[in-house]
Amino acid sequence: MSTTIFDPKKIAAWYARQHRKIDPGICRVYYLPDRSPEREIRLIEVNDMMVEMRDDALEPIDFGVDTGTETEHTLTVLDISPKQWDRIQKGKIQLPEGWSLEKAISWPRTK
Amino acid sequence: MAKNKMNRSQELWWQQANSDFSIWSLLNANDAGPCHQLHYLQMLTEKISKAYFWRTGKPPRKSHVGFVDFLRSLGSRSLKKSERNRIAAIFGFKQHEHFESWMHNVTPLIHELERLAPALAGDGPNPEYPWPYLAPQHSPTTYPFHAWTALTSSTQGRSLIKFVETAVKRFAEYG
Repeated sequence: MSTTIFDPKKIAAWYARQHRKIDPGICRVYYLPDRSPEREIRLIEVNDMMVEMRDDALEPIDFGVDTGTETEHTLTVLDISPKQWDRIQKGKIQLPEGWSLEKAISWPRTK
Repeated sequence: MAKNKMNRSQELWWQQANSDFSIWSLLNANDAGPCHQLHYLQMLTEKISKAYFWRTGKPPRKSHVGFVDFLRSLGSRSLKKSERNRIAAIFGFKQHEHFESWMHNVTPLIHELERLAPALAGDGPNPEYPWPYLAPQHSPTTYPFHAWTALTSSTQGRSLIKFVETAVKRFAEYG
C-alpha cells in the first residue's frame, strides 16, 4: 500500500532551496498555490543577476517531474528581475493567465 | 512575420531541428532521464545552428560545435543597430546590449552542452554511451550531469531552454 503523500508546499520549499543553491542570483522565491491545478507547483523566482527581458516576453517554463509516480507533478517557474517583481506588485505587468499572488508563500535568500 | 525566405537547405535542417524539439518536449513533459533530454537538446542546438549557417547557401563545417557561433553571429556587430535590436526583441530582450550580456553569461553553459556530444566528449561523460570505452565505469542513465542541473535549476539555464525554443519556433523571422 502506498504511503507517499503529495505535499506541494513541501516540494516547493525543496525546489526553492535547491534552486538557490545552484543559482546565487535568486534572491526570493514565491510559491503560488492559489488557483493552481492540484499537481502543478508554480514558482516565481526573483533573480537580481538576470538580464532583464521585455515584459511581454515573460513566460513561465514548465517541467514534468516524477512522471508515473505518486508524486507526479509539473513544476512551472517564472523567472523575473527585482524591477519586474515591483511592476507585478504595482499591477503594471500581468501574471500569466490563471496565476495569482493570493496566499503566496515566499522564501527569501538566507545570508 | 517572416523576415527572409528560407532556402531549401535551411528548410531541411530547420525541419529536423523542429522535430527534435518536439521529441525533447515530450521527453521533458514525461520527466525522461537527463541523459535523454540532454541528448536531444544537444542535437537540436546543433541542427538549428546548421540551419542558420546554411543562409549563405554554402555548407557549414561538419562539427558539433555551432551554437556558440550561431549566437555570436546573431549578435554580430556587422549588422545594423536596428536589425540587431529586432533580433534581440524576437528573443525577448529589451535591446541588443541585453542580448550581448546574456550571451556572455550563458556561453560557458552552452560550451558544456556542446561538449556532451560523444565526438567531443572523448572518453568522458556523454548522454549516449557508457564510458570510458575500454573499461566502462559510468552509464549516462545514472550519471548526474552538471549541465542538466544548471539548465533546470538556474534562471540562466531556464532562459537558455527558452532561447532554444524561440530559436526553433521563430526561425523564419531571423534565419
